[in-house]
Amino acid sequence: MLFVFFTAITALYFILLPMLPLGTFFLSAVRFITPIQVIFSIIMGFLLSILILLSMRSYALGVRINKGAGAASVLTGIVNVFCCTPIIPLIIGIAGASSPFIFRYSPRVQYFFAVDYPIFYLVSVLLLTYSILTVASNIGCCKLDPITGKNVPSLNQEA
Amino acid sequence: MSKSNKKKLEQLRKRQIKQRKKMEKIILTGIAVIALIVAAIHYEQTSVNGNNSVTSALKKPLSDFTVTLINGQKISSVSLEGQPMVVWFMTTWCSSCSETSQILQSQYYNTFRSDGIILLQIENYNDLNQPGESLSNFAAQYGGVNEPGWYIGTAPQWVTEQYNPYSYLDTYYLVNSQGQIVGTGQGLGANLNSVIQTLA
Repeated sequence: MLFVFFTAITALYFILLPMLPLGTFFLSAVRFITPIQVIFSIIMGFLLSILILLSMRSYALGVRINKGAGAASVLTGIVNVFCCTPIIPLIIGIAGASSPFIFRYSPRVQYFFAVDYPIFYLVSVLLLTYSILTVASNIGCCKLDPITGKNVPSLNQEA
Repeated sequence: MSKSNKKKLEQLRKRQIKQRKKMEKIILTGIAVIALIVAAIHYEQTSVNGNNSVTSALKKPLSDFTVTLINGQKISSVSLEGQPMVVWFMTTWCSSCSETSQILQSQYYNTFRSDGIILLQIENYNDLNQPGESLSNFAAQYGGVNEPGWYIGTAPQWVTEQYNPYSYLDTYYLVNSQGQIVGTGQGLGANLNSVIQTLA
């Protein structure tokens, strides 16, 4: 099961990461994947597949899980969509900035996403690791209290 | 069940309802923000894309400006009239631009040639004031050097200000053989098929 998830998610990252700067579904972009993206696709694919499996296990056991960190890790993994698409100038424009302001400052923000994108991959890996550790420790120790909606020590743990 | 337990349960239920409502508000706000961004992008793309109805602002002729090519030669944009042309404003540090150059070189350049479409690749003025590699290195690495009908160079600042007022990293204009702008869009690499359809 882990292998199936790992293969599927890694393949998804392989397709997604080089495609994001173009801002559209464009399969030809896959061949432009960089070595950094290959390495992080494999790492993130592995961690995310473990997290999904652990979350499924938690669900089956009735243990409450924190989905926030997992979701944030996926989002930080795909931020280089902000590099080359018009999203940043549009967001600055929607925020009410004038054209000269957008002309002058949006490239600085876009440059950060274009050049420093591995930082976000690293953050994504850290968040995934944190999520896995949290979910795993909850499975080991807790069960979900249906009234409060919080994890409480399981009977085994109490004993 | 004792009275105090009932009261506790009631309080918990109320708290849960409150939390649920708060969560609903957050989700709805998130959806609204995403919808707004998607709508803005969609509006921007449909209003300017070559395949859709072209706004009246786009029916203007391409201005006359001088492009300094990477081999030092100077050409005028007007001198290229007579053939359909793609004027591509790009940035050397933008990954979609390097990908587009490679896609053009390997997949689309021959179609451009056979359809008589000229490609005028202009670096956004001073790489939009961010450090990037030189245009000649970029071209040598990703494609377009010494290819007939593929002109790569720089233009004065006012050209970038006029044709790329929002500092998009990868934006293009489609110019017909009469020198009229008939379309524009962002992300040339992903739109090459529609570009050819519009100009051929």
